[in-house]
Amino acid sequence: MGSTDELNGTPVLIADGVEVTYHITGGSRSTSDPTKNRGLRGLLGPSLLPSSGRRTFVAVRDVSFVANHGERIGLIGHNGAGKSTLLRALAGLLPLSGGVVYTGGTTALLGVNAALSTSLTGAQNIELGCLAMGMTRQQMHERYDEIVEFSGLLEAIDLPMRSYSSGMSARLRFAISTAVTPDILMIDEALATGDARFRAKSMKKMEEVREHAGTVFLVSHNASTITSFCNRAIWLEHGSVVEDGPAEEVMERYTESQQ
Amino acid sequence: MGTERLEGGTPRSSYAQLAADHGLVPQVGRPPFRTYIRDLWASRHFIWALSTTRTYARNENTYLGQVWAILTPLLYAAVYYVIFGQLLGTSKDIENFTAFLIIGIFVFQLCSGSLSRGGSAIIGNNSMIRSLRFPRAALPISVVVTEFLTLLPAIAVMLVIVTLTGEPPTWSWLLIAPMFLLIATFNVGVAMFVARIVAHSRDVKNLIPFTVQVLRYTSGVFFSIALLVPAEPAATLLHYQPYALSLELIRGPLLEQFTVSWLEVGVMGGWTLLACVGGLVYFWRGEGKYGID
Repeated sequence: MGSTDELNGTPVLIADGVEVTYHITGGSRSTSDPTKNRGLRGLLGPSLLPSSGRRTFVAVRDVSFVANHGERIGLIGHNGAGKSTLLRALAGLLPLSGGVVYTGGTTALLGVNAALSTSLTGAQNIELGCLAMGMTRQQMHERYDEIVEFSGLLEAIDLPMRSYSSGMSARLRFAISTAVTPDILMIDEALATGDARFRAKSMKKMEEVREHAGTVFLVSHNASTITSFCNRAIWLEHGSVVEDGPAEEVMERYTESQQ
Repeated sequence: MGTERLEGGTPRSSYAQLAADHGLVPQVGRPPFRTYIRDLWASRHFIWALSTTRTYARNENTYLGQVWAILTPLLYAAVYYVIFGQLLGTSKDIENFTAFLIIGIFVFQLCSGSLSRGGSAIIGNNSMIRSLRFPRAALPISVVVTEFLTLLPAIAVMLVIVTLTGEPPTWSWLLIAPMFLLIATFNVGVAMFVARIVAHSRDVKNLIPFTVQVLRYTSGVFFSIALLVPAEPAATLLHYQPYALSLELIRGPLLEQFTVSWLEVGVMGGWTLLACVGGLVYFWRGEGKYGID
């Protein structure tokens, strides 16, 4: 993907009828309806019979939109509205059960749950993360110092990740994910963690991506984060798009609906 | 993943047209097989880093650390020596039962580890799958590499014990290197198989410890199939099953009493080819669906 201004406004990612379905194993289905609990099925438990062993849950349904170069798109909605799932599907990390996602560049996803390996040290996680993103060993060594610097972890880099505070690991993840400036950067609530200084650094990095004519997706249920950084917002409810438009307008109506 | 939209005949949606106009390509969950192999090769550094760091991390939480990788099989060996060798008499006719048993347990460790940890290769790494893009076959492959790396110090100890119990080191000992490679490759195939099966139906995971036990008792870990199972066809069947062959392949070069034939190596090669090609194709067919459970 080029990095010129004339690219701004042309599509970089297209979601066409995206649907994501989770398969859930376990949990009891019959508790809500005790009458179904009689007989063999009741005795043997629900998971013995294939019809009730696995349930499916449609987390995202029929989402379509066009994301353009240079846009900063906020995904807004309640907990469980399907924001994070949609983000992962757009990043190609979750299989779709329907629809297509068209992309033309590299995507990097950054999430609070994007755990690497907590038993490994920060340094080892940097190595793993970089290699998993497709860097060569040499590229990884070239970037290593920069990543450590950005994460601000200093000596803690040689401690296992399980000893990190949530802010520290968020910083490390952000540093790894953005080691290569991606065309599309997807951020999942990451700004909620980390101190003010790191938030400023992250903002700068996101700005950098945007300047490279890239696109930033930001998931948050914090209205002020969205309005301050995004120029477009997509409001999701029960996995479907409620509204898609300029951030301020969408946020206004979203905030109204909360009251 | 909507690939049907790309094939001729079906009308393209306006989105598809827009995507084509701007050179955007659909994200495919499962790349063509050749591409997949190429991607997998490109991720070899990742596989290696994942394996070495996990080997390191495995016993890091305990005081004795890596020593457990040697200590655990040695404890098993002691118990088997007493129960099977002494009480049940399976050591009869085996000249160096201690070395026989040690090799059996250590090599079987590689197989059982690959099988049981291979089962969790996908479901145990969901968070990694959901945050990073890489060919998922890297995970089961890395499981076997990790098992092998963990076993390396144990192999050194194994060789020392074999020498101490009266087997003179010979040039044929060098043969265990390609033999181990063959065994490990076979286990890569198996790990890919179980990784996908368990990812799609978790219940199978509960059958793995059982399978490992059955294999332990039918592969001649603590008895010699040739000496103890005279009846056909059971003897031949047990002898040529891949796990029994794995043990034979290492015992042959190391122990004076045993030899390994070209036929045995050939059959093991066949099993390896079958497991690897079959396992890889089977695993690849599920690519793009991992991480949804």
